Amino acid sequence: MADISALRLLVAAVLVVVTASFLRVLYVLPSTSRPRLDPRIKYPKTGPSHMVIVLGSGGHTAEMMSLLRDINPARWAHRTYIVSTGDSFSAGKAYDIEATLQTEYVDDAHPAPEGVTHPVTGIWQVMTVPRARKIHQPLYTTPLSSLSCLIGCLTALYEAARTSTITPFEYPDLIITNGPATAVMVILASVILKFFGLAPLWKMKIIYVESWARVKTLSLSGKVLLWMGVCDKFLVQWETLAKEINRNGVRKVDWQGFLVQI
Amino acid sequence: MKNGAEEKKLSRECLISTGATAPFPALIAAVLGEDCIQQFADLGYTKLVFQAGDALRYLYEIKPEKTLGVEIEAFDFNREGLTKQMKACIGRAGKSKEGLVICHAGAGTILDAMRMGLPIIVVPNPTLLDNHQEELAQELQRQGYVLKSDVK
Repeated sequence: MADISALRLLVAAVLVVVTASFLRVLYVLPSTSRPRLDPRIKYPKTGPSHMVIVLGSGGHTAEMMSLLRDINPARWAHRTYIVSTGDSFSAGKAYDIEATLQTEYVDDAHPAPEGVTHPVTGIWQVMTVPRARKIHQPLYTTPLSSLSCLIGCLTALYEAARTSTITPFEYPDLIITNGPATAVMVILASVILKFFGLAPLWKMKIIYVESWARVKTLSLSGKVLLWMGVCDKFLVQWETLAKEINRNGVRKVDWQGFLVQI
Repeated sequence: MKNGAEEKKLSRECLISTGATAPFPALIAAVLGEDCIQQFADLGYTKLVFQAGDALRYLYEIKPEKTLGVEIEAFDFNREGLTKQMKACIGRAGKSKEGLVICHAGAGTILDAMRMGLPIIVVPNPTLLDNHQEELAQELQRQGYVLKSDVK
């Protein structure tokens, strides 16, 4: 009899945990809950904010550069770029993005260097996380490297919050990305932080912009993120693609025309 | 006929970009074909510039000896992007006639060329498995931004 009641207890515990987790996920995900606002501030928010930009390969990064062309660095006073290991190209591109963002705001010909707070344009930094999957990596080791990438992303978000000089000990306000594999991991990390109540639900809002090259189908990252329902705003750049995804009358994605500069 | 003499001196460039990561030798072979060079010469082109990627050596192997006065320049890959080469294709009064950009269906190259207002011929690489580039080329042609072609 003791065995059976122990088993019953275990089954009951599992059921309670599974149900509670499920409800928690529904409560946390933006696709199944109402938009969350920070109760301490008045919206629309005007104060300095912290943005995380996830950079990927050359094509993605070039497009991100174009997407961010009108960002006001005085408003987004803290900009954290996340790149994956071995991608020195994107790390260099973060500097190029900063150079274009800051041109109108700094007198000097060069942008304020990484990690130095500028009185007008605030601060920017680059964080590196392990790659989720290297090219030609055997498939069976992918779960392990993905886990190491996820831990790297959790650490990066935590460090971005801890070291923030603009909003100390607060998680970033926004994560913006356009589809590299690392982005899925960064977004997953932000959802985990919210799931366990480590980060408030009004922080780390997620904006996903599908690549301009995607006319009729989403990229793999786009498909995964849309399916998980983790994005607060999911933008595509072609009307045909938006219509195809929203065809059942459910507005899953937004279309606002081309977002890259033409 | 002073006017005619001056017109002859105008340069006219065409940039052919085959993609940096996936080589596209079929496009290089098509552009360097006899008919194609003849067409370029007839249309007053003075220079063809290739971004050949890994197929640079292949380009030098098949490069014809007779190019009918059309200069041929090639490089493998430019980290800085193709802005400089594209600017050379823009028509400027008294200097050059408007040229052309021929490229694989890479979004970055197409966008750059569109921003400069250059005529574009897009040739999707049929050996690439993912066909989203084909879809992009098709839609851009439908909306009148580019002309889509193939290597057949």
